[in-house]
Order: sequence, then structure tokens, then C-alpha cells
Amino acid sequence: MKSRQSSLTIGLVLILSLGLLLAACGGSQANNGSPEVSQPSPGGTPSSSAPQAPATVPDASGESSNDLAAAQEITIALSQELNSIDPIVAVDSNSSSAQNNIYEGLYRLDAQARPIPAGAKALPEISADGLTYTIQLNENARWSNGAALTADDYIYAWSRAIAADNAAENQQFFTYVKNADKIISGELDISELGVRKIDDYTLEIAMEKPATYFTSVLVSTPFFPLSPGYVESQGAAFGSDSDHAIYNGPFILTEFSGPGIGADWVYVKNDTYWDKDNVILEKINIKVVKETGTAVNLFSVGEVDQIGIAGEYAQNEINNPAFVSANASTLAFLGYNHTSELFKNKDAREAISLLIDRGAVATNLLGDGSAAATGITPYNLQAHPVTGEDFARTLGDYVYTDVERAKELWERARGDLGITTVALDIISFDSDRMKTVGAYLQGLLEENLTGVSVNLNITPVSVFMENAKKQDFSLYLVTWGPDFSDATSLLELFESASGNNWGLYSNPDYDAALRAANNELAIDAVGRWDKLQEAERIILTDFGVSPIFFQSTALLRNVKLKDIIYHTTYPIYDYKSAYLVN
Amino acid sequence: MKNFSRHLIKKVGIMLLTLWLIITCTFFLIHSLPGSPYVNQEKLTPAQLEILNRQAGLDKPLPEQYLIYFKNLARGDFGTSFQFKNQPVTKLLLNRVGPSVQLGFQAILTGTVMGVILGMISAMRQNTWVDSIVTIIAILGRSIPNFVFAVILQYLFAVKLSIFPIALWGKFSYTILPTITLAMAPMANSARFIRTEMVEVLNSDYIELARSKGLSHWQIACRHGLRNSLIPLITLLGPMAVSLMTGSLVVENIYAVPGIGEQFVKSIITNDYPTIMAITILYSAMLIIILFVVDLLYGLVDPRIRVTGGERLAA
Repeated sequence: MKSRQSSLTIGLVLILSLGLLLAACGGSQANNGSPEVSQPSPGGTPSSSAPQAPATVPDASGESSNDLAAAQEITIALSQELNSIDPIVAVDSNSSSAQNNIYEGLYRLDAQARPIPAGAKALPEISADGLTYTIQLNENARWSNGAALTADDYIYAWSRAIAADNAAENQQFFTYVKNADKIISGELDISELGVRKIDDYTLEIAMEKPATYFTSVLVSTPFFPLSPGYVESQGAAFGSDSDHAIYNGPFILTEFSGPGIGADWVYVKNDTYWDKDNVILEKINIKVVKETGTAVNLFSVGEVDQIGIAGEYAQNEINNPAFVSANASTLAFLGYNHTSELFKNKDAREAISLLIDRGAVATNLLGDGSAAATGITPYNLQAHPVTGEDFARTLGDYVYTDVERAKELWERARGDLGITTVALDIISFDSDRMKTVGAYLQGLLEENLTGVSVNLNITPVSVFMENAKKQDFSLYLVTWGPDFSDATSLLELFESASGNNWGLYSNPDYDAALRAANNELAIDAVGRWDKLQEAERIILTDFGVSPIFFQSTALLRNVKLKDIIYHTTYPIYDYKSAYLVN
Repeated sequence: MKNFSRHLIKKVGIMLLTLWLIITCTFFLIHSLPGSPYVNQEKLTPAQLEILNRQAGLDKPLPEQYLIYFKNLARGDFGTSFQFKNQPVTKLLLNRVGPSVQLGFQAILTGTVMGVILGMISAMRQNTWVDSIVTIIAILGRSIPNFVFAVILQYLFAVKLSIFPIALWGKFSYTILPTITLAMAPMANSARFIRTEMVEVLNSDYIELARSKGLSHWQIACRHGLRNSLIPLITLLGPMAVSLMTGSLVVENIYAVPGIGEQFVKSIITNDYPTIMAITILYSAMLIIILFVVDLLYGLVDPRIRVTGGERLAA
């Protein structure tokens, strides 16, 4: 009933405000830019599929340089405008990728998602208790106006990011830094933030609690430095267009007329960049093209060198040599409403999980390079601290299909619960993939489970959130992308206390394993890894949630364009090492 | 004249009232939509949400927010977009409305001229094969959605024949295909309309008179038939022009035009309150003004409808 009311309100607003405007629209095709829950909006530029070659830049004197094209200029089509060039408010994939190319934090991620020094000279020196990080800064780093980059620039930027009057959607990144949460909530003054300058080129960070993955978190845009003198001199104009910002990344931004306004912009190689000798591309033109069909046409005549594709387009192009499927990094899963009598019953949850043919979903239904989920943690998110093995690939076989067993379990659950028929509500948000998979699940459950009828309720993300937070569903189907390169980023979603644990899954063993991994074992990298794997096995064998597929981003890329780095977390893509060959 | 100015004042009053009603209804309706306007709302904690709401003034009671909104509006401040960080909505719209208005204007001009010509030919050659062809064109133009035209035109003239650019925004040549696409509906509408009107006019008594004066078939059509048929067309064109100039989501997406069509739809989906409000106000104001102008024009062109002691209100 609630959802009917919401859709009624939406309907009224649409009618009132859209009027003729929409009448002329006919069937709008939800593009890949449509909002997906925490899904890095695609249309981006991830790079080649696993196994990924190390993204080494060809040596200027080496053989490969002979292959370099004379003109190092490319054009890339994106499906979304650039929302912001102010690091503290970059919350979408486009903004964070753009900012990662024009600004630079202490660390960048390499092709294997390991942090490598950038604004810092080396990896941090971490105290034995994991509570103090000492970071030497790179003394060659410069702003694009020639000014030196110092510890003050970091401290200023971080303080600005968590200041109450700047309250931004990114503040959760700072939760690791001592006192940050208390400053955000207004209990402490900004000067109490756990970061201080030892000298101009040495920064010391005090931690709230140890976190081995904190160096990976430091690559996020909110930790980028800003020049206090410059930002203050610009006032409200800072970041309003490409002329009102200074840069310290491999590229500088030009011809950008402002957030939401500019439908094209340009990255030009930054001559003041400390590592400019390893930047080969001279110019990157970005064009916003929202319609995949149009992007495909532009690509087919060679007007653009890279486009994002999805759905049918991806299926059609999968054999094209220009087709690239990025690392499948985002988890799509089915969550259960653990407050309902039905799904308190483990047999019922297991029955549904065992029905899902994940291979068929990934290859036949989606066919866009997505992979069948093997667990909660996607591939290439976290590597073993010693062996370097992939977290997902070493987990073991816990996600599988067995239709006969599913039917047995279902009958048992029905008997135990004394139910004959049951109506299930699956909620999801508006996106092509969710519609496809939602319809598949609807058919699957109705066909195989006796007495089940399924109502599939696909709504815009804000309506979905409203229903999800009130547990107004039987099952929810979402995608969730990790925030940083650590399994915790996804596993913490199902902790009892997590605000995003919409199904209210609660398992003391699971909570304990996660807590151990991130507290007692926080600085024991190997012990921590084992605990995280244990936690994931607990929830998978308990069928607390059912992973379905690892979503990848498919794109068409000029075969002569090499070594764009793709990351599983924000910032999604990195042009620093990219180049064109003949 | 006194009558007229009184009529004018009353008219403007009603226009303002209409606008106020639209703003008020929209304001309360959009704020009753579920969800928040923040981009990664699913990852925000309740505490963060509270801070953000306080900052954006969304924690205040709705009537108070409404008063604040009006106070700012009176100063010409439409607020700041949520979706595009720190971007004043006024700047956002001013910079994006240009391409939409240009395309809309070109489309309504092309469409109407083509439609009038087709409609005339059709009426003059009533019940012949020419008439049938025009009718078929008009029906197709009206019934085929414009995104189909857009895709076909793009494939044919840009991808295959390379006569025009595929998409994006730049020189005049970039506007041709989207203009043709958008012109289809006004063309079909006015062709049908002109045909009907002209057939009616051509059967009137004064046409018989003109004919007996010895004017040629085409002279009669242009001087008498067309002029009299054009008058009612004005009422049709006003609202059509507004809807075209405020941008078409699909056509702008297919041709990658940086207009406001998509922004509006996206602002609603993402609960970007200030943007929804501003576009709604822009759109309604344009519509109200155009209707007013049409009303005035109508009186000027056709003395039979001129304001006398009583008055006439536009629908």
C-alpha cells in the first residue's frame, strides 16, 4: 500500500511538472547512466579483462616506443556529465575518475589495486600498534601554478572536508582518522583532527583504530590535497569551471564550463607533474553521449576511441576485437527479509539460493561480460598479503545450484511453517540489469516453488531506499560496489549494526568474525585475511544473502589505445599510463 | 481602451496566480516524494543525513521551507543543485536552455512552414492521390514516435551517407538532424490542421465571390484561404512551441545535445528539488506567457474575437 501511495505521488508530480515535455518523449530508454545503488555509474573506461597485464608504460628508449602513435590524442565518450571538480564532494564514479586524473593524493592504485606512492615518497611507516602513520611527502610534487605541495595542503584539504559547514556526502571516509567522527558531529573542534605536520614534507596521521587497509582508503578523492591560498582566494568560485581550480595530477582540466553545464571537456598533459615523463597521452577529449546507440555509431566511424556499452549492445559486440570487459567488481545479490517468518527459516532461504543458475544469468541473460558470483567479495578486490592470491578465488565453493534439493528444502520449509501459498515482494531499483534479473527471479520462483507468487516492484532508487529501510519487502535485489580495496567494504554491509543491512540479517558468529578481523587482528594481515574469509563462509553457508553475479562494465575501445588502468573501487579508471600505438 | 487595460491587468493577475499555484503544488508534491536528494544516499548514516539536511535547510518544517524558498525566489535565487555540486540552478539552466530553445525554434519554424505547404497542397488537390500521400505523411509524422525518426535519420544521413554529423553539439550542421526529427510532429499537426481549415474556408461564400472576381485557383488559396486558416493555427502553435523549446529528453539524448530535457527528468528521479522547481517555473512561465500572447494576437488578427465590454479568457 505504501508503495502505491508513493507511486501515486510520483505520478502526480510527473503529470504536473512534466506535462507536455514528457509527452513528446515516447519510450525513453534507461541508459547505463541510470542510478543504481552504489553502482559506479558505467560508461566509464575500465580496462582489459583479467588476467590483466601490468600497466607498464613503454620505456621512452625501449622498443615499444617505436610503436607509439605520433599524435597522442584520444576522445572518450562518457554517459554522464561531470558532477564536480571539488574533491570533497566527488561521490559518483565520473567525478572521482576525473579528479583522479587531474589531482593526486598521497597514493594511487596500480593495476593490481595496490597503493603506490604518488604525493607521498613511499608507503607509510606504520607504528607497531597500527595507530600512527608517518608519511614522507614527495618533494617534487607541484601545483599547476608552480607552487610546491606541502603537508599544509593535505591538512587544509582534510579539515575542509570534515568541517561542519562543508558537510559532504564523503565524510565517512574520514572515520579512520582520530577524532574525525566527533568533529563531524560537532563534539570537537576541527583542530583536534588526528593529522599533523612534522615538517613541510612529513605528515603524521593518528588513527581512531587500526585498519590495515587504510593506505588503500587514502587513494580516495576526499584525501586529495588542496592549496589553501588558492582555494580561499577563489571563494565560492572554486571548482565552478576548469579555470577556477589548480591541479597536481598527470593531467590538467580545460574547456570545462562547470558541473552539469559542460557536455564536453579536455584533459591536457600537466607539464608541472612530478612524473610527467611517464605520462604519454597529450590530450584527452571527453564528450558526454547518453544514448548507447549513438555512442556505438560514433565509435563505428572512429570519432571516439572508447565508449561504454551495456545490455544488448554488449551482447552484440562481445566478439568485436574492440570489446573490453572490465573486471567484474560490483556484487549483485538477493537479500532476504530476516524479520519475516518465512525467511527466518534457513531452508526457505537456501531453497531460493539453490534455484538460481548464476552462470546462465551472467552469460545468457546479461551476456555483457558479467560473471557468475562465487561469493560476496568480487574478483581482484583484495590480494593475500603474502601469497598475493585473490580473495574471491581462494574462498572455496559455497555458491551453487541444485534445483531438486531446492524443491525438497522448500517443501520442508512449507511443512515446518504450515503455509500453503505465499506472496513474495521482490524490490529493486530502476536499471536494465535489475529488470532483467528481477524478471528471471520472478519466473524462477513461481515455476519451481509450490504456492509461490512473486510481485516484482522496480522503482527509482529513492523509492527503493524508502521501502528497503522499512523492510517493506520479502526480497531485495541490488548491486553494491566496494568503496575501497578490502573485503570489509562489502562484508560490513551485513553486520547486525550496519545501517545498510536492509534485510536485518543478524548472526553473532558473523559479527564476531568481522569484529575480530578489524579489531584484534587489525594489524595482523594474514590472521585478518583468514577471519574475513571465515566471515564470508559463515554468511554464505547460512544463506544470509544470495550473491548472483559480479557486474562488469563493458566497453568498446580503439584497439590501438593501451593501458588504461581500471580499478574495482573508486576512482574507477586512470589514464596516467595510457597511450596510443600505431 | 480603458476596457482593454483593465482586461490586461486582470489577465496578468490571473497569470501570476496560476504561476503561484503551480509553484506551490509542485513544491509540496516534490517534497512528499520518498528519498533524499543526496547522490549516494544508500551509504549515508542517519547522523550524516541529519547534518546534510540541516545544511540544506531540509530539516525545517515544510511550510517554513516554503516561505524561505519564496523569499529567495523573490531575490531571483533559485537555489543550488544537489546533483551538480555547488552549481547554482540559475546558471545551470541558463547554460543549458540555449540548445533546447534553438532546436525548438528551428523545429517549429521548419515544421510549420512544411506543414502549411503540405496542408495547402492537400486541400487544393482534395481527394486526389496527392491528398492521400500528404495525409499518409501527416499520419506517420504524428504516430511514429520521434525517437524512431531520430535513430533512422541518424543511421541514414550520418552513419551511412555521412552528410551530417552523427551527434554532439557544434556548428549549425549539428542541429539539422535533431531539427528535422523535432519538426515531424509540428509538421504533421499543421498539415492536418491547415487541410481541414482550408477545405472549410474554400467552401465558404466569400471564396465563391473571389472566384467570380476572376482570381486564379492558387491566388484564392493564398490570399483568402491560407490567411483565414492560419488564425486558428496560432492557438495550436503556442503550446507546441513551448513544449519543443523546453527540450526533448529522447531527441537530446540520441543526438547528444546539451539541452535541459534530460536534466528535468533526471532531477525528478534524483529528488533534486531546486532544479525541479526552477525548470517547472521556467516551463510554466513560458507556457503562460505564450498563451497570453496568443490570446492577444488572436484578438488582433481576428476582429470578431476582440475584447468588448465582456472578456474572453484563454483556455
